[in-house]
Amino acid sequence: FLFPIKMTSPRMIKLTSNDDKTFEVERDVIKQSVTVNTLITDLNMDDEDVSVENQMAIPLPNVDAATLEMVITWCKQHREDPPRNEEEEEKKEKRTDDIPEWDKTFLDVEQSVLFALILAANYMDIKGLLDNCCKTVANMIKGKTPDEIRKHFNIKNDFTPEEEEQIRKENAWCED
Amino acid sequence: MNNKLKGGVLIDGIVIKLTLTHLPEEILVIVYSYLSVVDRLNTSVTCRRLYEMELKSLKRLTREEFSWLDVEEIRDQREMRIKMSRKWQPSHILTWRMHPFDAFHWLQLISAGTTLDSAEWRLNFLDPVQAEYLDIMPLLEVDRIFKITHKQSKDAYVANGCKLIDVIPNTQVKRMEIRNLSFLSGYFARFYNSVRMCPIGEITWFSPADSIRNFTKEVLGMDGRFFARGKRDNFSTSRNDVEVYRSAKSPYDLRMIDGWKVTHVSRKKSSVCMTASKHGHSDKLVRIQCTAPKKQENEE
Repeated sequence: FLFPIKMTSPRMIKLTSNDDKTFEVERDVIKQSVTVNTLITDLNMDDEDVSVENQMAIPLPNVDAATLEMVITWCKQHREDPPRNEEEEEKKEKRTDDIPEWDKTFLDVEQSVLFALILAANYMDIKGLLDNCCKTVANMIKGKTPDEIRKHFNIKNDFTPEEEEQIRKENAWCED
Repeated sequence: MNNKLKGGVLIDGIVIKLTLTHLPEEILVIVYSYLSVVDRLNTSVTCRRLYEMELKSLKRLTREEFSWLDVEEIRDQREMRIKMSRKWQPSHILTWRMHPFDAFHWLQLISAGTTLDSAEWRLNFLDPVQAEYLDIMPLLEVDRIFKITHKQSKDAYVANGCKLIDVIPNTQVKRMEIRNLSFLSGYFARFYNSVRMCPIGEITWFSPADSIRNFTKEVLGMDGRFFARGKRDNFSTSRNDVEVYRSAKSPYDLRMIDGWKVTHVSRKKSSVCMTASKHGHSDKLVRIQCTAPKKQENEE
């Protein structure tokens, strides 16, 4: 007897951005998002009898389509990453020179896009992405004077002259 | 891809491009955790929000209880990293910085113990040698209250190093309270001299009664058992830069004017309370006016 081999296609999950664009993403890819993972479990969406067509889309009201697309791209790239051990991560030395090359290129985007990605990673609880984004921002800050930081990030100086003078006095020790 | 909203947020129908200052506090804390003290400081002083964010992160740290695991001094970067025990998060790696002053160098605590309106140091966990080098970060607000408390033991923390004097912030502070701290002989006068010229509105200091003997001896030049329990000896003073008034009745209240501060010293239960209030600045030398008691009385 020959039995037909059942080809199991990867389980797909639907995600909807705040601007109503729906993405289909492999369950295995999006598991890196703790928020989505929890929703899938809570809503009992792991039921294989429900086809993806009939499946409810998970709304992500804090993420726009462009950013969600980037998040999914990042998750696809990192799908084989070993699960993070947060306790171990906390013990690690805090350094910013260990961003993987692929991530460095991926995160080399306009600042506002990077910040949107940070907010999305935070909302979707994707620790790896959030960490690498924050390290990228830290690298932008490092070695810059307050004026350079203001210029780089387009920050408006809203201190009064008196406050600024006070701050300068407080920080005189670090001005060589 | 919706390019209109890419990297922006819609506020009142207008797309606003996200910037560093739009990031929520919990994310800025993560970014800050990757920065050195100098970089963090430079970032925090760029605008009001980032400055306040830094102060808030300090406030969170004050709720933690610390014990020290390791102290690593990085001379080149003029900073010191203190690694703490307990469930240590990256933010618990406190950064101290060296602050050159006179012939010494000070360390200035910048990552714990200070808040917007009050601060409390848990000196009980500090090694006395390290405690000598404490200083409080000056903050912007004028109405600030600092508290330095030794809580771990019922016994007073004994400050045996003159650098503990430097815990007094050299900035405008409304009130400072020091509890359960004592000074060994020789350090009291230095502490007092530092207190009287600092810009703090009022300093209240509670000390064990025994310790106040050093105060009267070193600051007032009175060599006696003033404020001690039991029979009090007559006192005399040799100092010529203070004006001292003393009540004749028990409990004794001593008032001292030195041109900068009016200091009240009174006995409260088992400790002596000293309150130094701002008096104004004067260069004149004040004559001694020691009011000796009319008759011998017991302290109690």
